[in-house]
Amino acid sequence: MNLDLTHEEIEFSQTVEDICKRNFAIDQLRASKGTINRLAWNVLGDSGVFGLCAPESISGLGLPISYAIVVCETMGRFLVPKPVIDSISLAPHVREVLSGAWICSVTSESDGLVVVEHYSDIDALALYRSKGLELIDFADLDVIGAQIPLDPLCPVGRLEDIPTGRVICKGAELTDFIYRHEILRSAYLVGIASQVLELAVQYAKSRNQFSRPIGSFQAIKHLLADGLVRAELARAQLYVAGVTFDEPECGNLERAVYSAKLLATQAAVTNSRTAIQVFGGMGFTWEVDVHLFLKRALLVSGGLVSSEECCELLAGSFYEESLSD
Amino acid sequence: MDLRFSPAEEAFRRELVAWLSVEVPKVGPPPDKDDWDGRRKFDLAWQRRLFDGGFAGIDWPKDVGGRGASPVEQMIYLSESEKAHAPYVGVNFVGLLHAGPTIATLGTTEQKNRYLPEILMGNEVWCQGFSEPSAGSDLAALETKAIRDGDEYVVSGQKIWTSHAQVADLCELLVRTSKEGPKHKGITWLIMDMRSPGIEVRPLKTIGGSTEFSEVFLNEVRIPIENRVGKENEGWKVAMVTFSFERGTAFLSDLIRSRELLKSLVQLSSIPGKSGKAKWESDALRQQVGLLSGELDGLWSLTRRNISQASKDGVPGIGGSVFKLYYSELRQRISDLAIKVLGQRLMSYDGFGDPVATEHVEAYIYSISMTIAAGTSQVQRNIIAERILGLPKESL
Ligand SMILES: Cc1cc2nc3c(=O)[nH]c(=O)nc-3n(C[C@H](O)[C@H](O)[C@H](O)COP(=O)(O)OP(=O)(O)OC[C@H]3O[C@@H](n4cnc5c(N)ncnc54)[C@H](O)[C@@H]3O)c2cc1C
Repeated sequence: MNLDLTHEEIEFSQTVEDICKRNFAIDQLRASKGTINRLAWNVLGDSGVFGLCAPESISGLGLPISYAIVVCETMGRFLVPKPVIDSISLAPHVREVLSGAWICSVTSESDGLVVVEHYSDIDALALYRSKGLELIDFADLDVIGAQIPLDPLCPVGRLEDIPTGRVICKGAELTDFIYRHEILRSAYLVGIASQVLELAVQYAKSRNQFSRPIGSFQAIKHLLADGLVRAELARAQLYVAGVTFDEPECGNLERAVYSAKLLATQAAVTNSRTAIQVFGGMGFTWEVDVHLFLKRALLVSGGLVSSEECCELLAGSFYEESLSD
Repeated sequence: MDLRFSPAEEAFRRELVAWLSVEVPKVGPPPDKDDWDGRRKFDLAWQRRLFDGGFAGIDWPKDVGGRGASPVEQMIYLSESEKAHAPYVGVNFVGLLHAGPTIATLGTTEQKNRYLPEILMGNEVWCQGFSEPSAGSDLAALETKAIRDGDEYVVSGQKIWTSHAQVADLCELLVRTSKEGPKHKGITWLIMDMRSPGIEVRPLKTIGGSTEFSEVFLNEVRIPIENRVGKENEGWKVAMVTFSFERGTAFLSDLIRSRELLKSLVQLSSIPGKSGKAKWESDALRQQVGLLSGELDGLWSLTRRNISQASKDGVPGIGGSVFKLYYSELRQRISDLAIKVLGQRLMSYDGFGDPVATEHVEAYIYSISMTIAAGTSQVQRNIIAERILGLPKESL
């Protein structure tokens, strides 16, 4: 039993971090106003990131999902546009995504809406429906863009009517896709949770009030300590979900994934809120980055399975476990 | 990363499970919680069985009589024991999880030979005399004084919250040997024979109505200097070693037990009430259970991550504080749910004749101590903030 990252995994994530520093720095992202920079996207593609989970037979890297997990954690730290999660999880099914030639976004219908992210940049939309995952060409999409998206770095629109696309996976493959996708969303959220905590800790060390750093006040310390605990709990569950994905006989994959998603969502959203509180008035300004993390956390935590649905699914499986004893 | 056990670990697990399936059924019913002689006998008898079966001191080094097993095997031992409903460590807690490992790490050869086999064989019970009336969270402020007189220390003062003191043979005792310099540099760690003249044990009644812990008054108790572990005035460092064991895997059986408690609440809530509707049909209750079960999954994962780190570094890491903080509060939230599920049955310790309800009433009361004992939640948050996040100390 071992839940530590390997040397290779750490090395790979450092390579990706360097790429992010050069191509997806927060100032660059802010300047882009939510348009995805194709050149930067190709740099990611060249590093092999999109093919991490795709089999070698279609020129992917065919690595254990732990690689994609550490990569998506890094992506969350840098707020790399969310289709990066979609590309990694779609690559086994869509060749053009694997190479980085296409940008796709994954969505599903919920609350009577089909929300399309980065609608002016995507080449196709992957729509999750209970009977299968459908790929819809950009040309067939009739999107009504939102005037002011909640996340300023992620333009969104809604589908006016829902065309039928080409089913790219169904049945067992679809379940596999959902788990992979939700695990990678969880990883991105754990990245957000850690990064936003780090920003708040740095601020708490440097901001003085009453002639001392605010980080010396217990009220602040305890907020931040809880943030660390939330992030560590979520990360541990994330890694377990990853291992269980690769080797389902090691546990209950469904539970592992939905627990990971739930804990990662809580960690990302609550830590972002905590960080705003720690930053005080500065935290409520557009200029300080923290709100961007909160908004992205809310966006990414949606996905194919909401927190509420995670709770219901976990309750259902726990019910069976309880009554079978 | 991987979650599999190695062939050796798997072999150990199978051997243990087979042994438990034979030995656990031989254990009689547990004594009443206020029958202290009975509890001592019951817990020591189980320890003796473990010893005879070769399962005493799983993670203790071989040269002191342990099995020298890895942290992973210790995890397997704790979880399989809990699954088999084997007796809990009980009054052997301090000996097996605090004093023993501390002596095994820092004691002299004579001390190891004298004390460790007795713990493993289930002959001697230990208690922990650390806290004092004016030294709780601020443990280093302790005042019980020890004065050197030839080759003995003469110890006077008062300890409090000493669990199991009334049945203990020995006590790991922190005393003040110097008032000079910083307060944590004048503390010494001693082994006290509980039968020495000058010791008075006065049991305290807990909110559960039982006498789990006591006040211990010390009036010129003579302790030979060979009972000192570590150097004089360096007892704080010794105590830090003790704590690292305490926050390591000590809560693992509790975690498994919490899952059982939550399952039992699900069973109770799925029984239809008078109106024909079961509480389980409530969305709020179901989602609460879903969340709690997810958090239990998370804690189990965190435990495995902590253990895989401990296997690499050799000592239990700071991860113990992270676990303890979340776990103790989660356990209280499970109890909050129990209040909703039990309804009026909570109002009687016998659950009005329902033994399952009794278990939850007791668990509810017990859970309240969990954010206080072994370092309060506030203290754990200070530790995490200062030692992990590197935030500045509070200026007093
Ligand atoms: C069931 C049980 C069994 C125990 N068994 C033993 C035992 O066998 N041996 C033993 O030695 N001890 C034992 N203890 C004692 C336990 O370790 C102490 O109760 C604990 O460390 C807290 O100390 P205190 O009770 O003096 O509370 P205090 O330290 O007085 O704390 C009171 C309140 O103030 C808060 N507080 C204190 N300092 C700070 C701070 N710096 N920052 C923020 N908040 C603070 C605390 O969190 C708490 O809420 C046991 C306790 C319990 C409940």
